[in-house]
Amino acid sequence: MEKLNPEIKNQIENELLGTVGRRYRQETFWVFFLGAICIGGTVAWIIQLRKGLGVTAMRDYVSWGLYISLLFFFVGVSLIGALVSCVLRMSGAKWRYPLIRIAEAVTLSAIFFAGFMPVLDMGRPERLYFLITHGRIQSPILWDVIAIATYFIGSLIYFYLPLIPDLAIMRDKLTDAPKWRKKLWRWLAMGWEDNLLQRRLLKKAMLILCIVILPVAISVHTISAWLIAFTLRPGWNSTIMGPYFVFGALMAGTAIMILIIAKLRHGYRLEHYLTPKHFNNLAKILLALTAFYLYLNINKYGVPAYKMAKEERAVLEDLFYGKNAFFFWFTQIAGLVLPIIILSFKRFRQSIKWVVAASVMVLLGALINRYLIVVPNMLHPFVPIQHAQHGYATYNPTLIEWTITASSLAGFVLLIILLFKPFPVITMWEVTEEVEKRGEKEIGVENIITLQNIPTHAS
Amino acid sequence: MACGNNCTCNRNESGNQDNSRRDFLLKGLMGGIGAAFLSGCSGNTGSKSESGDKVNVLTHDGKLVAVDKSQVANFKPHISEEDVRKGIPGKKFVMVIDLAKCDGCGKCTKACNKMHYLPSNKEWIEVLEMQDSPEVSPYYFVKPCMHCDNPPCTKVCPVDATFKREDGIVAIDTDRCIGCRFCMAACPYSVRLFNWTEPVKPNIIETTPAAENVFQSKKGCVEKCDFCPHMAREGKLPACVTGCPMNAIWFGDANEDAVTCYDGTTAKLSQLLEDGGAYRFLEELGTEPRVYYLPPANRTYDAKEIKIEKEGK
Amino acid sequence: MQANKIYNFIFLSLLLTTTVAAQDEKINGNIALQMGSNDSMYVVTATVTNIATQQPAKNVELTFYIQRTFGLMKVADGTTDSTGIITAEFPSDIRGHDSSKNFILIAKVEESDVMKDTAFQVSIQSKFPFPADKPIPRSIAGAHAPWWLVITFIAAVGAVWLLFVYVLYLVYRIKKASIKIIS
Repeated sequence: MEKLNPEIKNQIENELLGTVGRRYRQETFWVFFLGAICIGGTVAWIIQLRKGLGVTAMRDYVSWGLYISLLFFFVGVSLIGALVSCVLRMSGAKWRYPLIRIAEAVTLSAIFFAGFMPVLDMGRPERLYFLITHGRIQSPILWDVIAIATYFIGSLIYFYLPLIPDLAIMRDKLTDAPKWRKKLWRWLAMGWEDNLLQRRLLKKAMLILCIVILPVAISVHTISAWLIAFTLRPGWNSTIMGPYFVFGALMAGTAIMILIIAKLRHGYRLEHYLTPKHFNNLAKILLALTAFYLYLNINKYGVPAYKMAKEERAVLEDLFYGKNAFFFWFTQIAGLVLPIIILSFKRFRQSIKWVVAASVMVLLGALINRYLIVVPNMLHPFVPIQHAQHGYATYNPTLIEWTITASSLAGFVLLIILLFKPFPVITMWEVTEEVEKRGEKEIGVENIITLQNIPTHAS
Repeated sequence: MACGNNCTCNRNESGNQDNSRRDFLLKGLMGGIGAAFLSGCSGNTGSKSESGDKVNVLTHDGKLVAVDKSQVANFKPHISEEDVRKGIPGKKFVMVIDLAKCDGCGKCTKACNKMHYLPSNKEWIEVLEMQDSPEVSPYYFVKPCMHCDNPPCTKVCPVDATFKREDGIVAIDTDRCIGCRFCMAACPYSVRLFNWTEPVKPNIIETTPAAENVFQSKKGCVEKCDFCPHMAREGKLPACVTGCPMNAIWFGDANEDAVTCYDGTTAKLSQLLEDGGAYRFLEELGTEPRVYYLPPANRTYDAKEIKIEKEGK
Repeated sequence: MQANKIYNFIFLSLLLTTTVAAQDEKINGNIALQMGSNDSMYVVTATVTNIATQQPAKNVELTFYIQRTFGLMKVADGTTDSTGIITAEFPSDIRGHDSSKNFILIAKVEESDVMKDTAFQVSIQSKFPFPADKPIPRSIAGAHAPWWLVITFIAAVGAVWLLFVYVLYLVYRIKKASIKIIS
């Protein structure tokens, strides 16, 4: 395809740069709302730090609760960056270009909070540095900490690399911005002037990172799964945990991705860039992942359920028709079976509303599933729970725990919004470049050339 | 040579041997376990003139040294952090619990709580009512820390706060513990407790070294049964053993192949395990516990009286 | 140690200096021990003599114990014959109580009708080697990581971080590339 008209390119860039620093009423509301929740969570955390973990409902039997469930959730969600920027790249899906920055922002935010959750859960957070001074590399916790740190740094670099040419565009175009911002852009743009050598170097850097980030991403979540799979507890003592977590994570991440692009599409007026094609394609991925996750669930629960070995029986009975039966069947039916049915129909897949609805169900199911992986197993140890004090043999999270949990989720969304504020949401240079190369259809954008043409012609 | 070295030789030993054992132990013999047993007449034929003044003590590296008794009396034990982590040299502590004798009185728990200044809601040694299947009779099951030889808890500790000592004890360093509670999740025996809030500190001055403190509770740290290493260093039995009037708990050294119970009866460990048909709890997990159980056969109490608490109530 | 070889251990008379008036009718005794061993048993021969008369003391009940860390382990007992001699056997699978492989055998007169309480002890070397402290074979449980884990770990993490550094170096080269053209 021939080169884009420089004027059209200019228009596209102007449109995409329009979101930078711009205030949206709805968004401002959300920022303040989520910020308020975060402040509440901080207060709750301070209370927890002062009084000890006794303010939570965790006790000796359920020694891990919502915080660790959330750790698994955040680590899981963070895999979406690797899925979009690596797996889709390897599979040659060109429609990923408009999604790359969004996926990396979700990843960065998720992995940041994933690193934060263990600190919240620690009895002695002030001794965190012992991990460096006294660390035992035989412990999966140390692996987890290092893997999360590595993935965070890797994601940060991966967020930054495609940003370099965009920063250069911002540096050149947004000349009326405050001085400090221009200075920052200039510094971050690394003297990008789109020459051949720079392009070659950038592509090379992105390729290397794309290959490195995949094993790191998978290891992050596999190690998190090992935190429970390395124990001997009934229900946890299973080799399926690694893949089970990884695919559950990819599924949850894809669902979150769909929800976020659905919000951005209208909120930031990106209808031409985030199109039904993206929703349709992500829905297909979500369908494949939910179906596969259902298969893994059948393995994880079905195989021991067939045998009903003594120790696992208590856990399984609790899940199948005990206290947690509602949640369990919700995650299986509303969280997996229904979305699979919905997404199986082309008609629903092409409707953004239905895809979003399916994603919400998948996401809810995934969140509850994390809780179901952690808590019911802790309530059914090998040694029967007897003479337990009040509150020891059950787990009903306290207000403090719910506040901290809610504020972590709020903080996760808030950080994503804040990451979108200073930078364009869509990778401008890559999208225009690929549109030039392959045309709009393959990238999934709609009418950006023709629509932009109208005002150009008019002027 | 007159055996004047404050040992058992010429004492009138009527009654509990435990008392006399305590008497003849010289407190703080450089931390050398068994030092006192070597004191006295053991082969020291020539030293008639110094009888009563010399005493043999066992040093850390397992050597016998004859020192003047007056020196020993004022010798303060210095056990370094390293010694604590290494454990008592030459020992492999082991516990045998005779379920046939246990009548579930819970005195072991009380003695343990007293020893370690624990509130009543903490139980380092628990007495559970177990029934393996509906048709078999229930029994009381005493559960201390198993001090596994393949401990799942020390494997996962990220900061080496819980560790396996050479004497077989799995100990916790509460100055190191970061409170991640991975060890609690890893322990299949549910023996580990966590200090969710600030524990009530007893009004005592600790003289024992770091990880062998009798009072170990620290906010935000894990704690559990420690086999009373501070007692073992003095050649004394753990609190639960001396607290069990049924003689159901035996404690000893596997290297010596001997275990001792409340009334001072010392039995050959291998013989006891063989005759009693001993087993280890959850052997199939491969944790290699250092606690053996003798099955609840021919019990001395009425098994029907045991009421099983339903799980999770 | 060869079987059937008789070892003579320490003979030592034990002088009782207790002056208990209430036990006047009981005699003060002296125990001499002689140790031997055969294939599977230790043979201990104790000779009890009356200190005052230097005559053998008969009908004295004697108990033999092995000193263990937390108590005395009874291994044999018996009553002296008319020559004041008692021969007892106990299994030779007794372990030493420290790395010196020694254990202490105590012969005791306890609550005897004939003789005042007394005891005599000898130190015997065990036939069994003292169990060496074998570190836990699954060294993952120990304080130090096994070499293969350290190498794998450092290699994996190191490789990733080196590639990160290389990527950042490429970014640096991007900057360099621009300066060349400008200048």
